[in-house]
Amino acid sequence: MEMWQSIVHGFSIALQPMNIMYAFTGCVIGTVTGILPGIGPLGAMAILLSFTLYMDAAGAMVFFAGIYFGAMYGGSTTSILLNIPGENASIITCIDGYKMTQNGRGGAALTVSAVGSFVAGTIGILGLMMATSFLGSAALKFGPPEFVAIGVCGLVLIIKLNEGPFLKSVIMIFLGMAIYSVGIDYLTGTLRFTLGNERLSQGIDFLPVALGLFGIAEMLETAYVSKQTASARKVKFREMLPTRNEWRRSVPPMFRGSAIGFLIGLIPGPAPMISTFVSYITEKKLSKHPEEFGHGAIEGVAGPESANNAAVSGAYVPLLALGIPFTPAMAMVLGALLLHNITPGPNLIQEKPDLFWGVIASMYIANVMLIVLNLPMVNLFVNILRTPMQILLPIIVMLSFIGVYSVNSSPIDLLIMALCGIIGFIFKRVGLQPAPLIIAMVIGPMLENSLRQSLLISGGNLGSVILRPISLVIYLVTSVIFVAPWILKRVSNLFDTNKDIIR
Amino acid sequence: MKHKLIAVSLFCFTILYLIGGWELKLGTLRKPGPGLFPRLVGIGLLVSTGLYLWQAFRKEVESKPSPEPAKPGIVVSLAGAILVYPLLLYYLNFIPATFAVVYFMLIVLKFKGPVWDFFIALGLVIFSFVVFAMGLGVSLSVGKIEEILFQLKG
Repeated sequence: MEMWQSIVHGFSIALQPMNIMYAFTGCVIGTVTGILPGIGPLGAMAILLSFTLYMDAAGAMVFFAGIYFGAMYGGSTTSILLNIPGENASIITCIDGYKMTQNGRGGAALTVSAVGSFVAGTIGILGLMMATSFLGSAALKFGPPEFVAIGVCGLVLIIKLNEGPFLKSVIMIFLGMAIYSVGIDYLTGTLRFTLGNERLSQGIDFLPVALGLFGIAEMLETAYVSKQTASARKVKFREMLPTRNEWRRSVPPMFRGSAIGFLIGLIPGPAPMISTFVSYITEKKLSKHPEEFGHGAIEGVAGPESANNAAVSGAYVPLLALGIPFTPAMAMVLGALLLHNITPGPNLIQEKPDLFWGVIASMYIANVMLIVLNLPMVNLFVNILRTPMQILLPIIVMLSFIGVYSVNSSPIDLLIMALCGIIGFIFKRVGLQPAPLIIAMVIGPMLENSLRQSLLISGGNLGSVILRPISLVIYLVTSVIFVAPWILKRVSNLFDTNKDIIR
Repeated sequence: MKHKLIAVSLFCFTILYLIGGWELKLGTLRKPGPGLFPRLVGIGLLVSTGLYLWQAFRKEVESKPSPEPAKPGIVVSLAGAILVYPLLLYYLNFIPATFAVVYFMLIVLKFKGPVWDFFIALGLVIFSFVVFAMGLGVSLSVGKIEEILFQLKG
């Protein structure tokens, strides 16, 4: 009952004119970045991170939620109409979505995708409300050793689930930690790796590194492969109405996709993308017509599109309840909160109820806005693809310059951003993905401080740091997730060998 | 070749990081010092970049050909412009420095030709200054040209 009163209070905050404006602007920017290949929600969030300083904390959260949800909607539009995934989480939608367009049912696919995203957004937000409240109360029992366990396990799972090879992910995690360790050690006041530079004694900020790795590096990548602009056939409003049979086939995948997406969103890694693959495979296995998959099956659009939106809500749970971002996008959200001197964690709901419930209500409003915006304006959004990259790239660079400089008025920050951009571009060319680095950079302070506090409290007894009941459970669960696929593969190989022998 | 170069660079960085971290006080498990975490990170880096270096030299990593025509010259020019920008900003302030970089980028990316690009770059930079610095109050590097705009505003 208390939760429902809180959410009503949240709506009273979210419906304030400024917050509605931030939600609207975020949704539009998110949809545009979702549509444009090469500039994903991460790049947009990195570029706009410093501008959130000019909003209040709730406004910044609402703005970023709008961008993140909007990107999921936008990405599906180009996947369905043009076979161009605007971002990773829309790749799977291309398979059946584009086939539906070729079969003349592109409009229906867009509607199902939008409604699915809305349903998933709603379910995801309900899940977020309940999971965060539950996890937040449970997390009040957590001490430094438990936070060490969560940090270590988060990083281990990110290595496991990252797109890149294992060794490269490990290197990026340690590089992120190394970057974090520059600057003053707040427990003893010792300077570390500052090379005598006064500016570096404050540490390397998250913003220039994130903006370099995700904004500038993406810009260089886009210039390198010279991506072409594209245009699509206009979709008439009449074509957007799915048939009764299409609705009937879409509803169960929407609910299944929402559940899958939300649960996968709780796990570290590129949750929205993974959830779409899992949802697609599930729908294909459950379908009475699996042969239609790949040829325009509406379930192949409804399930994954619901899953990626629900995964966004799921990804907020560890951040809001524990203060730990498990995805790069959540690292950006954390960055925005830290700019406002707010550290999310188990006490956030008690200490900042306006912020917490306001953000949750705003997410719902953003979902309503997106469905109202996207369906009638689909042709307008698709036209954005005609914007030449030659003008878009200098604008991105200019916004990045303004964004980074505005925080500390420091040319050193600009230099760090430029170097990170160039290094990020080179890393990408050899398959070193920046996501683990940025997450490690954010988790690093919590991990070091918790580890040192744990050792101090326990008198240097490593056993009592690791063997606390909650920590032990966290380590065990992570080990199972880490080792289970390998064991399953071995077992399945064993069965295959036995079958061959029997034959 | 590029894998080998990256692997060697990462390994060199690791060695420098370890040397830098070695001077920091390690402390004990009972009372950990500021050097404990960097030492752990350094060892992790040493093992992982060492393995990467070994892999890079032991087996030739196949580099996938890009499906689209690549333009390394453009990337080098753009990267150069972005690197020079902090220096330009330090000496020239926001409008001239940003204009120089944006104009250069438009020329490199072959947008509309030098004359059009000049006016587009100028328009973009002045518009962004008016919106961000004068409208939203974002702190940007201000010199004589920027002051004229502020005076025009009153």
